[in-house]
Amino acid sequence: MSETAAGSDLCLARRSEAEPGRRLRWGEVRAALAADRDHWRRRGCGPAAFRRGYHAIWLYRLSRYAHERGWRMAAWLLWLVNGWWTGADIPPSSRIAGGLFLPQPYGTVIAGAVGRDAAFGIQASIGGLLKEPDQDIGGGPGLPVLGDDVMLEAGAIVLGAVHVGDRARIGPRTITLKSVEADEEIMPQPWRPLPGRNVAP
Amino acid sequence: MSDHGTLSGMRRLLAADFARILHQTTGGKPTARLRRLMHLLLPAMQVAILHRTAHLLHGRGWRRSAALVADLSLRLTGASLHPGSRVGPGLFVPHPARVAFCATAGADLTLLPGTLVGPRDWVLPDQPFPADGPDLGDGAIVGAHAAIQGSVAIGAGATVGIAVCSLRDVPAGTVTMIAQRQVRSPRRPQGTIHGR
Repeated sequence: MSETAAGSDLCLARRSEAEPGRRLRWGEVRAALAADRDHWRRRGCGPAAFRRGYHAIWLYRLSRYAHERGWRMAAWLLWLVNGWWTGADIPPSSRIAGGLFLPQPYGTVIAGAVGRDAAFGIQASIGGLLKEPDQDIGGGPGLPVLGDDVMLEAGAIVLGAVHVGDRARIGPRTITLKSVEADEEIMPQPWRPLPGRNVAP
Repeated sequence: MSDHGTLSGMRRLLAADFARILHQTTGGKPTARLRRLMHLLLPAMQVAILHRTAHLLHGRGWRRSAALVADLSLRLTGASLHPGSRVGPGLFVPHPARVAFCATAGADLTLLPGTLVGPRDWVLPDQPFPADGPDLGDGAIVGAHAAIQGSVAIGAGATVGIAVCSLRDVPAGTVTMIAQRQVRSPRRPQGTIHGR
């Protein structure tokens, strides 16, 4: 890692997801938010400050900070404000590294651990099945762990204690209950025409 | 197609939407006037009114105002339709929760709950309307929790079935369904949670 300011920022943003259960420092929150804005700029979405998706990430990072400091009422209130203002359910117990891109937050649930520079499409969600709460692979009880540069397209859902590798891409409306390898792209189920109904009106 | 830029055209489109909603909800039976008027408050009608307004503003070049109206529609009804999407007369969104739409469509479009219709790269409501979105024909029905993504053409009268994600063209009049068989297993004994 280089000794420049940007390099140290990136290092901080990376470190915030590396060690679970460690108390967050304010500089790490700021570095993660800078990485978020950088990702928004790279995607060509203009300034992120007035986007509701960036508000969702901002409120999540604040509530995460409060949660890690042990201010649980403040964390809960910030989570509540997040749900009301942006429609995203990002509990402060989930770990998200810097550089999250979430353009349309309405209806998104992010429960689990997410690596750097993830991109979530509209209504893309990760979470658990409430079935095996004793399984914890790093994202929380029964919750998934996503690697770096993961892209979830519109409506994609990852459920259960599974790993999603780096640079994986999960297609639109794809529901996954199993692990996804790195650099893998998974697509939804194909469709077929209902037989006997293929007549134009 | 000249109905899309003017206020009187918007009134005609809304009249067509109202007629369609009334026909769908009452089954075409004769209805009292007060009950007919009550249908103006249905969520389907709210979606139609707000989308037609946003589309008019978008066509006039007031993109920020159009995005504001689209956001109001998302807050009130739960359906987010891109204001630039051109929808023919007879839009019917009976249950607008989690509906996201960014495409062009012909007359008598039906969007059932949880549908995602749009390009692979989603655009925000105040960004210009994308050229690579889907194109739906007349009388298309998009089923519950279905998705149509990318620059595909859905033919006239086609039905995209429940939870189908279509990334390729659907011919006219086709009813689509998920290709995989349903998994069925013998019933578990009562009184256990998750079979354990």
